[in-house]
Amino acid sequence: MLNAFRRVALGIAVVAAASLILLLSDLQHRERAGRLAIAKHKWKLYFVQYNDVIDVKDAEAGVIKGLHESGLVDGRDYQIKILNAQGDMATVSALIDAAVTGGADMLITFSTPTLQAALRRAQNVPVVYNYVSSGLKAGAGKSNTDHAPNVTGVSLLPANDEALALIKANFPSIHRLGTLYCPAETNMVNAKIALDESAKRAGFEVVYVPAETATDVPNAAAALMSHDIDAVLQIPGNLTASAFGSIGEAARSSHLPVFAFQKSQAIGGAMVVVARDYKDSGRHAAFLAARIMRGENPKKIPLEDFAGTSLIVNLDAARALNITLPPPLVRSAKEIIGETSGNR
Amino acid sequence: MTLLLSAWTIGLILSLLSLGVYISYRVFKFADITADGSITFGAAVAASMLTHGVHPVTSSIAAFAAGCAAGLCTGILHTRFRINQLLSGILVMTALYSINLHVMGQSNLPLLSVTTLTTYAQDLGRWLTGHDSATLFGWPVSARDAGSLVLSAAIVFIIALIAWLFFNTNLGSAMRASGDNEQMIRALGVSVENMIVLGLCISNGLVAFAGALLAQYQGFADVQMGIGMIVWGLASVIIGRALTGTDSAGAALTGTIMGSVLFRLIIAVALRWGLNPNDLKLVTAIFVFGALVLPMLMQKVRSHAAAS
Repeated sequence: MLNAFRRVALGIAVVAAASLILLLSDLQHRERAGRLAIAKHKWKLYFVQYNDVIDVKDAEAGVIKGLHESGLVDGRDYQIKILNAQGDMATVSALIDAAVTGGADMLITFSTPTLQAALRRAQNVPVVYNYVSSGLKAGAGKSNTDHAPNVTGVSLLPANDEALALIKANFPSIHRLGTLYCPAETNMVNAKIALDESAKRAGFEVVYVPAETATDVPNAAAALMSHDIDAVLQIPGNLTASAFGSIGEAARSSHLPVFAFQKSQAIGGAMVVVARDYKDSGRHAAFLAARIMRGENPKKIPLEDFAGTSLIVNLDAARALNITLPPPLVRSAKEIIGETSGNR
Repeated sequence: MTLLLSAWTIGLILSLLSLGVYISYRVFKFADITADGSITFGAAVAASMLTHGVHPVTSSIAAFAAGCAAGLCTGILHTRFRINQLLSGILVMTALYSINLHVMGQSNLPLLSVTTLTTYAQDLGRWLTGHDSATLFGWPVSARDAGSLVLSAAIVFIIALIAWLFFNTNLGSAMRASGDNEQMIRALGVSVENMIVLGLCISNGLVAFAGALLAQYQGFADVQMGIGMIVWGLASVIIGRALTGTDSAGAALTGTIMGSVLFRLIIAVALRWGLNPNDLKLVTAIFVFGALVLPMLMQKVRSHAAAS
């Protein structure tokens, strides 16, 4: 019995020691609390990410590019610290707390869970979100102008209307489209709902096949191709971005063209990409962050829905399917991948 | 201070998950992977009810009941259909993934504009500090952080006390004995199968309750929030065992709670010290490895010292 008490006491001592270490690590925060009025010269920007996937890295690169384009210089005007929960939801709140106690002057969140945790736990620090399909659905506000006072950011939904109009104008034989989606990814589910509405308006039928993990994607892609579709219109998401090779391969085997929304997928074999991707929206989020850094109040900066697009065509992918892309379409492309002979 | 309070609060909330894992893993030696699904199930049920205006206490109790139902399914699959322990857990966890999506109606439910237990915790914090925030030894402390810690500590204390009282009843003793010595308990006329089913019910109920509290604390429920939780639960149980070193119910329950808090404190320290995010999981794995190996090494050192 005495031994048990001794061991429990030892355990309590270990927990107390860990608490003390954490508290001492936080001394900076205690000192800073007394001198909040001191003007800031260099902003401490914390990038808070939920997971480590290609799209997040794209968005991150976009934010860094946007800060640079805004005339801000890394090391002089700001310093960046990246925190990533590595997919562990219970760590997300701790990341926000680590950023706040680490003296963050601004949080730039990537993903819906990190935005939601910031909304709950970082109410005194400006928050700029990106890599989110709908800031409003995530709880950032009631409307684009009536939102949490410390929060602004950029939502991104795929350019469905633009892509469907392009398909209708250039490929009139395509009526039935197919896409894979992951029911667990909020961004993909919102993209699916948006595509559904756009497709109904434009007179397209869309077949959706779910895939939960990267290992499901090859089978799900094969199942999608068997649904008698005319083309693949792949909505963006973490899962399909990292496993796009399987989708492209299945489409190639079935001699079906692939349309997509992410630049990386044009390089990966999609024939036409109406890119409205995370890099661009990240860049745009950085413009909002720059406005805050220059003294604007985030409360007065409306939430934005990113609307820019850029057209990319992959001539090699078209040639592999014996499809000749209409010259006006190729001419209007911002970027062309593959040999141009016979297409311009 | 915010980081410390938050690490303690999440550690305490997830100690309910660890208590659940303690029942399945240490009492029955049943590696019940259902926990990955039932923590999300609890969060999904509570979040869905909260967004429909149900009281947070009712929603949290409903989450506990939902978790019990999940544990019941795993128990029945294992004891009645003779499906392997691991596989029965995997089956229920997989099914729960779809069920959770149906319960929430979408993959993520925000709880920022609804009344949750955190709202009450904030009121409690205001009552304790007298304001929205206070200063403790120079550190700013928000009413919500203070209230959340006090409320979660109170909930965990009550649940641990109930669990300790339960393990000292005839039924609780029979349950523990079922895991320790199956043949003996059968000879005494107790159905080991029923004990396993009951144990898994309670275990997953606690796990789901932890999910409900976590969702309310973090301000959202997400269908992916359970991924890997069983590992953290197991790690906390192992750390708790390493801390207390005894198998008595009281010490084991205390150790499990301490293990969970310590685990979250270590993660918070690592984050505060600016650990490379890519190394986060490696550090936690090394920490759990240390917790596994250190007691053994200390025992060896002691034996060696005694022998010489």
